[in-house]
Amino acid sequence: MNKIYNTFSNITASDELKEKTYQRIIKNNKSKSSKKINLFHLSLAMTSIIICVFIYSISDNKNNNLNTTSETEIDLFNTQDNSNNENDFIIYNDKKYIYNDSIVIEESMLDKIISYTDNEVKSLPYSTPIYSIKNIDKTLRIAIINDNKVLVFVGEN
Amino acid sequence: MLKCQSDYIKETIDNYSNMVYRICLMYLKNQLDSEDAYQEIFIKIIEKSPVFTNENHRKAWIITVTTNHCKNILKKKTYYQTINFDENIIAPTNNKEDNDILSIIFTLPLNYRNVIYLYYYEGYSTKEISKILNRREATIRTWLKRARESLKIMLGGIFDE
Repeated sequence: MNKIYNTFSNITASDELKEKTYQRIIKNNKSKSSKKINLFHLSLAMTSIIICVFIYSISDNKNNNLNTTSETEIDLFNTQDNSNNENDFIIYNDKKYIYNDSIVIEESMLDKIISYTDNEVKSLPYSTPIYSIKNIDKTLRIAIINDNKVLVFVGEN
Repeated sequence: MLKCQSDYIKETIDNYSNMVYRICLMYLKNQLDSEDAYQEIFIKIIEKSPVFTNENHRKAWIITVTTNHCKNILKKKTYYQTINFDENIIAPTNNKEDNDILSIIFTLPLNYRNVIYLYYYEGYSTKEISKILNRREATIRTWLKRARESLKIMLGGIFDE
């Protein structure tokens, strides 16, 4: 019995084996922790991407709303603008009169109502009075009043 | 790595190094394989170390992990195909008499060797061994009895209960 006990006692793991095992465990732990860190970084990156996409989608929606408003405003502006551009015209006595915004005259310079428009001029109410201009042949220029402003239309040659 | 963790690893290796190595040798009968198994077992022990109620609990758990690991090695079919145990025995001690006794112990069946070690060296009772190895106590007693009888025959006067 003592002999067997002594025999077992003499079986020992060498210091070299202990050290080798210790180093292997340390190395193993390090590689595991680096894997954990990599996994952590990956999940962090994924979360960041998801948050970015979420924020982007929210801001995109806002922009869309803003764009819609803006486009409406532009349309409105264009509508208003169209009323003042060259495409605005009046047909009077089978003659086409095109709006000219460079000509500014006072309301007092208007002569008399010669007709009523049939809505050829955009954004104007139905049957807007057409005026002739004092001392100017009505075949050359005519005018209307819109928003207390006198709009002058020049007859085409 | 935290210093406390490093200390824990060192302490575990220092305290259980010889025990793990001896059990590996009992199972594998081969110094080189025992050293490989020893390293893998300690990696497993450090990785999976649960909370223990006391040091005895921890020791019993380490013995169980070691025996299970060695059993798994022996179960591997490829191991049987490539390794012939008897031809690869390397003297585990520097003492000729110890090596002779060991070579006799190595001739015992696997379960007998392990029981002999746990009973005579680690000082466990048959009841404790039955819990560690997850066998009936009667089985352990039978293995121990047969192992003693075999050793008496083989060692002659050296073996004295």
